[in-house]
Amino acid sequence: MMKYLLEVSESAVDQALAEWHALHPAMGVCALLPEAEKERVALLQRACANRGVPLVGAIFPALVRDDAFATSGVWLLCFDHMPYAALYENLPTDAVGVERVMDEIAAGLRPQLDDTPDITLFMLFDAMVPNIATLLDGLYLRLANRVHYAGVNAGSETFQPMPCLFDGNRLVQNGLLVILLKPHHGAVLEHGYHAPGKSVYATSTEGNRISQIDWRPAFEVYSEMVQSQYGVEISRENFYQLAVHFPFGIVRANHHVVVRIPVMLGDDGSLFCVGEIPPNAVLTLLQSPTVDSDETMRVLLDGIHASGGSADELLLFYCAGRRMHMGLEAATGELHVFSGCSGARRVAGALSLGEIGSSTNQGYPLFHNATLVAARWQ
Amino acid sequence: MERDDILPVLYDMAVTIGSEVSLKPLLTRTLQRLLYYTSFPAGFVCLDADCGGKQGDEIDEIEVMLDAAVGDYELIGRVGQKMTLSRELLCGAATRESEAVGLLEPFSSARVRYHSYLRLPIDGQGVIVLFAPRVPQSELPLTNMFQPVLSHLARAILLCRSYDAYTGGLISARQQAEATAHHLAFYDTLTGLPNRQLLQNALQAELSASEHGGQYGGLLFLDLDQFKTINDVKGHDTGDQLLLEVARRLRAAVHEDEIVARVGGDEFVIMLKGLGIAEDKAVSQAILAAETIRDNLGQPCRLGDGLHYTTSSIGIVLFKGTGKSMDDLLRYADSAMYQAKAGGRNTIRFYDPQMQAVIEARAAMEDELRSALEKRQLRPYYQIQVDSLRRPLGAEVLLRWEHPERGLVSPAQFIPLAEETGMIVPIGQWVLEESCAQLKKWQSSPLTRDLTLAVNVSAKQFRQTDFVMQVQHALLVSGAKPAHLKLELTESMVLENIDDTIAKMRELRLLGLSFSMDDFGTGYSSLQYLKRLPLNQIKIDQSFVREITNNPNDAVIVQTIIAMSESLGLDVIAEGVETEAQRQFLDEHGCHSFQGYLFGRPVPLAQFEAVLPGLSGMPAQSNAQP
Repeated sequence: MMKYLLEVSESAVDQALAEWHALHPAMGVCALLPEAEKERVALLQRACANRGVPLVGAIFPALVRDDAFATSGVWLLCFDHMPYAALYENLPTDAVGVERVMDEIAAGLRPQLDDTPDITLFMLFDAMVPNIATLLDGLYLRLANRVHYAGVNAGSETFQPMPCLFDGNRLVQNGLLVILLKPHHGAVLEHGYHAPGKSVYATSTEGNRISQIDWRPAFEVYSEMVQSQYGVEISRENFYQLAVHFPFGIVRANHHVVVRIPVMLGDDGSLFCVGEIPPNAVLTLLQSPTVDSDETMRVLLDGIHASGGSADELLLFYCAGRRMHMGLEAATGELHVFSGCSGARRVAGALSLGEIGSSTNQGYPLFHNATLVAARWQ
Repeated sequence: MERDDILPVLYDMAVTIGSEVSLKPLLTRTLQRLLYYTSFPAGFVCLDADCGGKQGDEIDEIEVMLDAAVGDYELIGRVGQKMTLSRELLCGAATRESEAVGLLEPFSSARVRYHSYLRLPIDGQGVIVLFAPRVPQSELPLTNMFQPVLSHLARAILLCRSYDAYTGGLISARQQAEATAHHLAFYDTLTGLPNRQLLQNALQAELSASEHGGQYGGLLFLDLDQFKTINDVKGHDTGDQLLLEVARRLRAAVHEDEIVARVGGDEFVIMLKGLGIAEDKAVSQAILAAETIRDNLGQPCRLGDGLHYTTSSIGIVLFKGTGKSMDDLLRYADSAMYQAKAGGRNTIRFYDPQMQAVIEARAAMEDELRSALEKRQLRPYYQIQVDSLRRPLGAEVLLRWEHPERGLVSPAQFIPLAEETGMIVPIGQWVLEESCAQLKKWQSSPLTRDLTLAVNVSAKQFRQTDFVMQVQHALLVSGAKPAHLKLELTESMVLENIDDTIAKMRELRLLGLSFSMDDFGTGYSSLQYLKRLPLNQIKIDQSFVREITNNPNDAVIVQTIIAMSESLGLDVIAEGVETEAQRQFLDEHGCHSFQGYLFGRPVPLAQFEAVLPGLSGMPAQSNAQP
């Protein structure tokens, strides 16, 4: 069950909880709040505590409400039985710390991995966590193909630090919220970008920073590529307006492309992206017109139908970078197509700051930008 | 990714391989990068796969160790284990196969079935096998493009193994030293059981666990009955043997995850876990465990040549959550054990808060008693001793504690405490010195110069090797005449070491002191030893005097004591004389010295001195012979 409340008041939340609680005493709630309603977390925590209802949730730049974006209200996504959920804060970035916290997360999850064949590990990261791909690597080394991986990043669209993940008692920063959905067939992730033929190599990278491409300062090569491939002159002055329209694609052997949007330009000409760039990654330059919305929607809807079960209530997360890249009108158009073609009664979700999914069923989880993540709710 | 893109892939692989110095991360990271570039979802590495030797159809499987696995949950769980796999899968040149369900059967499960694989041999060091439900799309020449980095990987494996062997040796030596230090810090060296420190750590963790889980836990505090006697009589080696056997039986009587610790000489604590959430059930489970332990320990035990029977006293306290501190729980269990001991040994007792209150009050009193001397709260009281004509012979010095808050504390309360704690020694010395000083004062007045003071001496005080010197010192410092100082000894004290007693008594008799046997008739009253002691006086215990006129038995005993004293040439005095009839009986039967309420209660000095002039004008001459 999922319910959108236009007004985030104690009485409205309590009434929704009361109705569900009467039917499902073991229920739990996952709440999605837009950034404009971030002060309402305490209210949600109070209301759930009063009813003895477990709560988890996250704050996003905006919400996806059926076929439109919304900057007010709240989505209350109700579980009949609260699944296993755990909130971790202040995730480490050093190698030893990463190993330790991954061991801790995996140790919490393992006892929950019963005979259920299809289990989804849904992850909500704070977008400011700088080493999400490394953390996903760590998780995959421990849980491998036992779960389907899916997730999104929460936080502020301004990319300013903000506590954005919560449970019944805490509101945390630099954290990770894991929710184990079972049975659940995972999510479908798609961006629809096509990789042009020309590629370059990220010869010097560190985390989400590309210092050199083909052994030259990254921005120098990037601006040359934008100029030669698309005829657009990109400079330090117009970088922040234009870069979102010319993201990098990390090319993999199976032709899948993982999108990385450059969001910051360093004084030394290095480029900072949302998400890590592996050393020596094969990069290509993507551009708005190559986005194939039709194919994106087809892949998403096919995936949803293939996962079986009811498509009455669906989850959809839409990348904030993609919306900037496509423009509000085109992005809303994609929501409209998705909502209409899926036949879903309800489509709940949010504008996300990075997405997690695997290119194959139960395959390696990858951190993406500029994608749509869709899933059945339960 | 096109063929032109092979170089950066190989470069990245080479960097990945070159970055690792230890085998496990080398294999895992390499495998991870290969999966990333090839889009195969899972894979494993087997080093030392024996692909040489026999060939032919009859040998189609080989046993290998799985050294690394990525991407398959079940397979990751089998890393480090041996598996029997098809030779066709593991051996041979690099290959990519798309229809190999049979070969991949060991890796398939109900959730996922693998059909295709990519085999990459590592230059004689082993093999990497990547597998997938279906061959991932790729235009890259996957079977031979990795050859340069696989040669590099083979060399890296040799280097990493060498590094691991070297650091493993260092780590092993350090771990061994750490393990030894850990064992010494947390385990009892005799029994190998956890010690108090480890018990406390485990208890702390269990308190937190029970806070979350809501289950009761329990502590059994066990003490062996009469263990000291075994050590004294049969020697410490036998005592140690018994402790080892007890440790073994205790360990066998509890669950593996429950703690049995040795916390003192013959004291053990057993921590029970998971006794349930209901108190009554937890109580019955704890009792059951304690009874099992008691019965196990009660079985005969062979020590040396003979069978030994031991019993134990067990105190129990339950806990749930962190409401009570760890120290309190151990104290409560200890207290319950003492209660069990008091209950007759071989007994089980639950912690009783009322008893704990008594123990705590006693501990508080002990602290206060330590400072009572310094704060001048102890005071000598004097109870008069008279002759048949009620003339004063002197007094017995009786100690009182004038507590600022508790009021007058009974000697029955604090003297046993002082005895147990050893405080009786300085207190006794102080009483001796005060008495001598008082005698000196009296000796300057005609009214009091012939009075004798009887001072009680405790066993601990008397057993001091320098006791004779202590008495000498008190007399010397005060300048009192020794003939007026009478020391009262008890039967039990004398019997403890009769030779030492006689030697000290003789030395003191030579100084001019006299001795009285206190509480006579209550102990052994052996004529045999009485004859050997250089005594001056026998004091008939008040318990016989009390019923002397009503109970014929007591009357006979008293008459016998008097007759015996006469035959030995000893003076006799009766204490606890409260009625004229008692006095008359004693007087008629030959006892002419008395002490009791009939003549006066123990009183402070001023009161004592105040009544002296009114008694008979003159003090009587004591019959005690120096």
